[in-house]
Amino acid sequence: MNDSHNQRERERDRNEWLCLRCQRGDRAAWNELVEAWDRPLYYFVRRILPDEQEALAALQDIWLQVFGGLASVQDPRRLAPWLYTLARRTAWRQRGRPPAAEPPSAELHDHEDPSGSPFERLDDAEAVHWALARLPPQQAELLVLYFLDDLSLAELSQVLEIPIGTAKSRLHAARRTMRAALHSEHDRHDS
Amino acid sequence: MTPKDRPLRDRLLDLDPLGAEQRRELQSTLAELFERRLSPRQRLGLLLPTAAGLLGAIALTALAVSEPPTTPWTTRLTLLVLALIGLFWFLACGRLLRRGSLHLVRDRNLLTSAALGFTTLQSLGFGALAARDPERLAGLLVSLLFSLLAAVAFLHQRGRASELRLREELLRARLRPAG
Repeated sequence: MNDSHNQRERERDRNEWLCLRCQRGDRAAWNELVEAWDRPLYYFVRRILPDEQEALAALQDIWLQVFGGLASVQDPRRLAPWLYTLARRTAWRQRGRPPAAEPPSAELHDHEDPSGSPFERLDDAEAVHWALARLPPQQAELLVLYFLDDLSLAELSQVLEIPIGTAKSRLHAARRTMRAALHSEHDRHDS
Repeated sequence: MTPKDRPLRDRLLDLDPLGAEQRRELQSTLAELFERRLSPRQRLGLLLPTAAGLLGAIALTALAVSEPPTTPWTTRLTLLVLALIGLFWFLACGRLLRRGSLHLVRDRNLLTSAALGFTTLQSLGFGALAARDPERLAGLLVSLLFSLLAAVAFLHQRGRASELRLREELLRARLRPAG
């Protein structure tokens, strides 16, 4: 727990450092920033835009916005939520408006976690990746933020532009849906 | 480190990777954003103020020096100030030509410094005129207003740069112990 907290803090320090150097006009820092963030942003955008070419076009657009807006980032410590907010807005603009919160599909609802054991399979990257592809994009984007950057509830609510309470309940629902998806797949394999 | 020991984040990213070629292409496009290479047309466009600046500076200095002794000192000073402005354009544009690219942040710093320098010189000129002819006072006031605006922009820029540098140093120190 402490390790993960330290890791997160260190990651924030690094992001802040990169952002400050970019704001001072350090070209090497800009290259480092792109190198550090192009893959997570692409992964995030792909959950909203499954088409590879669309996702690549969105990614380029996102970076152009980052370049234009980086100088005005007031709190470089919150670089990650800022980047994801830009990415999310761009991806949804390309895809069309985000749908109103959809209830998870009936099939997934029918498989509540019987054991109550929290996420033992959620350390299995392939299983998580597989399940993300089967979730509604609104839940998938939330869980990607959770898995990739372990964003806090306040940060999640900032990125998704919803109140913290809503972010909390959506995260809970998304985790439950994902668990159900994993269980249903597991059951299918067993039978 | 076995694959399982790697953070989940990295393992997830590996499952939907950005192609190496696409990644290289994207990074190269983005690297150019920060520092834009000058096109041949832009180079030509910069060559003109560089040459004009140098020639102007030489001619005006020569004129200021070779004026007859009866020439008022204010005229001589004005010629020297104009020569200085020519020299600035020569140095600024020559530097860009030599570098071959526009650096958005650093060149913005140069611009605010130049704005402050020019408006200060302008105010000094108007000050000298107003000292002899009080009707020129309005010109001096307008010039001082521009100087003030340029000084605010300059100080803001410098203050921001110092703040960023300080925060950057603190972070560098914090990041160092863990490597």
